[in-house]
Amino acid sequence: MQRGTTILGIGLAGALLAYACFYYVGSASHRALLRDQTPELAWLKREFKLGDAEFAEVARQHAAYLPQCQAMCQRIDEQDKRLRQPLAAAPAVTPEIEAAIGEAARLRAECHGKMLQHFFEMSRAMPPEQGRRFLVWITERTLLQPERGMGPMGPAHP
Amino acid sequence: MDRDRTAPPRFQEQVWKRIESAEAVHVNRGSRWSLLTDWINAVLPRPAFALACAMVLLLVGGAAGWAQARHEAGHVDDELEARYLRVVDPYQPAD
Repeated sequence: MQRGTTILGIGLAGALLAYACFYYVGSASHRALLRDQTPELAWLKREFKLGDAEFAEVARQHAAYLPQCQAMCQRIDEQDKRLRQPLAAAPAVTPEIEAAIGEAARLRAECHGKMLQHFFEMSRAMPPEQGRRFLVWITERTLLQPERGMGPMGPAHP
Repeated sequence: MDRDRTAPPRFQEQVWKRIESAEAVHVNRGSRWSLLTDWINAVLPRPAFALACAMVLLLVGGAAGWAQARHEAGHVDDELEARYLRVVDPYQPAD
């Protein structure tokens, strides 16, 4: 092989090496996030610029909320089953179905209330500006999602 | 019978033309590659040009690596955001 093509080969190898180095450095913080025991909380810490003390409080509140949330999930699943059974058999809306729908709505309202209470507590554990940002972000992605019927309606909204 | 053995008019000339054009295509393909390698071997050993090429290759490689890392980081962010929302909200869609 002649000198020019050797130089070109070295240049291309250098380009590959540069690619690998920049990729390694550029993805280092996210690889560290994924190695964390609770990557979603590590993401929250980074996204809302929490200090260690603030993050410890946020993580504590998160851990305290999880059992409540799981219990609520179980109740929602059970209520869904209670609604499915009469729905599968009944030819029309029966009092049993109406009662199950009412109970599902009540459960949803209770769940939303507890979620919102948790979100406010979380936001208070954050620096004020980040807490406000967290509240806007979390409510838009949970309670105010249009498909849940609590946010702005599609056709009536320009 | 004699008529059958007679070649069409200008037969030999056409055969030679075909052979020449086929060889020309072969020579052209070979020469394009050799032209490129000749050009590389003539130009790249010049230090200034070699340095410029090396810088461009390093920049392109580095930029591509950084862009790929940021692109994947965006996906990781989206995934972790969705995971957090699924953990705290029982009504969050599964995916």
